[in-house]
Amino acid sequence: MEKVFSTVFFIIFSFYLILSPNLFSAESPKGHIAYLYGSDIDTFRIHILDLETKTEKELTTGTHHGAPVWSPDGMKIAFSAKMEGGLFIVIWDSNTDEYTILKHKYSWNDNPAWSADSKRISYISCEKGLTDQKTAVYELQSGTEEFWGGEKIPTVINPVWFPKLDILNAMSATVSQVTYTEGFDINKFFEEGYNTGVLIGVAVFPLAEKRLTTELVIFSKTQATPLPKELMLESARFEELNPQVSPKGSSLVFETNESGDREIYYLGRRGISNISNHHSADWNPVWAPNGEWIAFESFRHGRRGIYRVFPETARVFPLVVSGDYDAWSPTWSPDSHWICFVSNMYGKPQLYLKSIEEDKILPLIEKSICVAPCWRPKIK
Amino acid sequence: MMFQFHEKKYVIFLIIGIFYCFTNGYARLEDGTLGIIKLPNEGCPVMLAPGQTFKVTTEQKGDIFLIDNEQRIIPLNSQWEKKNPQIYEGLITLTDKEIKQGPYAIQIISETNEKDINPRSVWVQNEFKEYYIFAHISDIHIRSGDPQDEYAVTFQKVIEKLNQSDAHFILLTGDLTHNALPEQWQVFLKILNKAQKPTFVCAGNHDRDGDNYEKMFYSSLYAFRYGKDGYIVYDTREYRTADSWGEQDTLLYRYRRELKSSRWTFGITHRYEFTMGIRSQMILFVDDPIDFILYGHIHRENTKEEAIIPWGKTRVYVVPAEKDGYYRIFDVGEGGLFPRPIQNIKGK
Repeated sequence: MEKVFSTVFFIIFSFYLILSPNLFSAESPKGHIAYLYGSDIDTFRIHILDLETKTEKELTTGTHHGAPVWSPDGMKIAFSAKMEGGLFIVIWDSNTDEYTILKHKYSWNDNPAWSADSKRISYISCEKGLTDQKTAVYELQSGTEEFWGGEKIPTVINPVWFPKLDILNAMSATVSQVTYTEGFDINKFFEEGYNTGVLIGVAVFPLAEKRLTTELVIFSKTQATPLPKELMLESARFEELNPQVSPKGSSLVFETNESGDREIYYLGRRGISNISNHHSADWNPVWAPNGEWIAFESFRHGRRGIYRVFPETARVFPLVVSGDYDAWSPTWSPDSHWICFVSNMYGKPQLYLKSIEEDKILPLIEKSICVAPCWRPKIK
Repeated sequence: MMFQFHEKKYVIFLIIGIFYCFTNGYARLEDGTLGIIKLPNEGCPVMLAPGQTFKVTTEQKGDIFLIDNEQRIIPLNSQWEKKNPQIYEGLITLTDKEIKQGPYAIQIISETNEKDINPRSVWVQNEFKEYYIFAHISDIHIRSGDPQDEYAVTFQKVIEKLNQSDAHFILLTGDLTHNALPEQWQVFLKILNKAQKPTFVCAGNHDRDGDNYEKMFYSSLYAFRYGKDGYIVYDTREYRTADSWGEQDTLLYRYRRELKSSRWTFGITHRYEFTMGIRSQMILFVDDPIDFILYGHIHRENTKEEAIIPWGKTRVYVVPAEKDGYYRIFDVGEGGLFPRPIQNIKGK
């Protein structure tokens, strides 16, 4: 009897070990992390670190590299780089080790973002120094660049894609009467959205009293509208920033200074709520790939630290917090068990790893300056 | 006997002279870059009253001294803290209540017996007035290692003019050199050190060649107080103006918060562009807007349309290029910031 019991226990325990991803992933994070390395902004180049072999690769096309962005299928990296004639969006293909330099209408192109199917890239595009930044969308297969949102759309910064249109459908259902901007064709918007995708960004536009404000806008190829006012805060008085759509497309988070300081708000099927709620600034929300957690930065303990919040309950947990150093720019591992981040704990900015479950912080790269890490998604 | 007295006097003068050269010979390294003492320095000094506290940032721990214009040496007590593997920070209180108002060099004799001095780095003030005056120059563009070069001569004349003015300190908002070459920095520093008032510098896009600026002044982002008012000096850099990847946003937020209680808060920088990092703009101009921003870069005065940062709260004052002989003096008081007419030493 005792033997049977210990055998059963052994089998159950073995299964637990095998099936518990936390236990294994916490010991050995895997994959690739792309980041910027250089002495300063003028010398930054993208490096890619293989976490298993510790080998590195440098992307060599152009100078003044911008932050790397992995495609959702994990195969390519988009980044901006200075070349003769301006700032270009460049795609590096991990399969072929080849670079594609996109052909642009305007000389200044930055902030690339991938569509969920990895077939399109959006970026802001303008002549250098101009305030009328347009959102360009480049279709990789056809090699064509288009400007989205229609003619009336104001300057939009940092647009990102909706992976699905669930939240937009849900938003429409949340309130009985939804007001869109004049001339906005909701049917055409959804038709275009299902065909080629929908973006959300921060529109910057002048108010009557001759000052700028920001507002979240959703836009497709030809249609654009601010998020309906029935869903949003009284946005003309506040400045929203940094919208991030959840991996499943069922909710979004963004920053606003509605409470007098920067807070992170969550917009889901049941409306809008403040999920960071602290009198110090809370900013830069980043969804975990499993959609359960949002990492964000906060100054609530004095220095800049990284926290995570469970959006359904707004419970906040510290991830990397210290009175002696700052930590910022979290990027999640594909299994959502680790973050890579930047910290000045030993002077200049370097990269570190932190398990979500454990307190230990692992130095990743001892050289500096390393910033803007981006963990490669699971290869599809 | 009389002759012997004179001889003795000469010997004393000679010793003082040798000591002066000796101590000043250690000021910065041969190429003009900072030595053991990083902060304060001639471009990022401290202004304080007796009894107040300041921080010194160094590569090594050691004994700290102030040296006045008559080469008198005043020992100071410092409490050291290791900030990171390369940097120490010493907390120093100016306990000598009788210390005279004026400029002081700061000296360290390190634990390994190395000596370093930064001249004009500590300015003792008996009081910080509620009504005070400062001067603003920008875009000096020192182009060569020749102190007789046209740009260097103009800079020297402007400094002489400001020495005669009623300004309490001078702000120099970037493009201090044309290419950030070591010989240009050396000429710049030589002339800067003729200023008889505290001088606060910030980096311009022409001052960037790797980390050359940091080697000269250590930090391109810092804050200071003058009486009730706060000043945030920051770096908008070239090409990608004020990116969000590094430490700048952290420090801007922290300084803005520390200076929240100020009567007026000033942003001191080289340029403003709407396309600069949006986070920096939110911190400085939106969430808790600073009152005034002073910059250069465009080599002309701002227009009426440019008088307010587009976010709606912060007033703008741009000074034309110093290389063309321009400077401006401001009065500060309870009513705000009052610019005097722009002046030109070339009679333009």
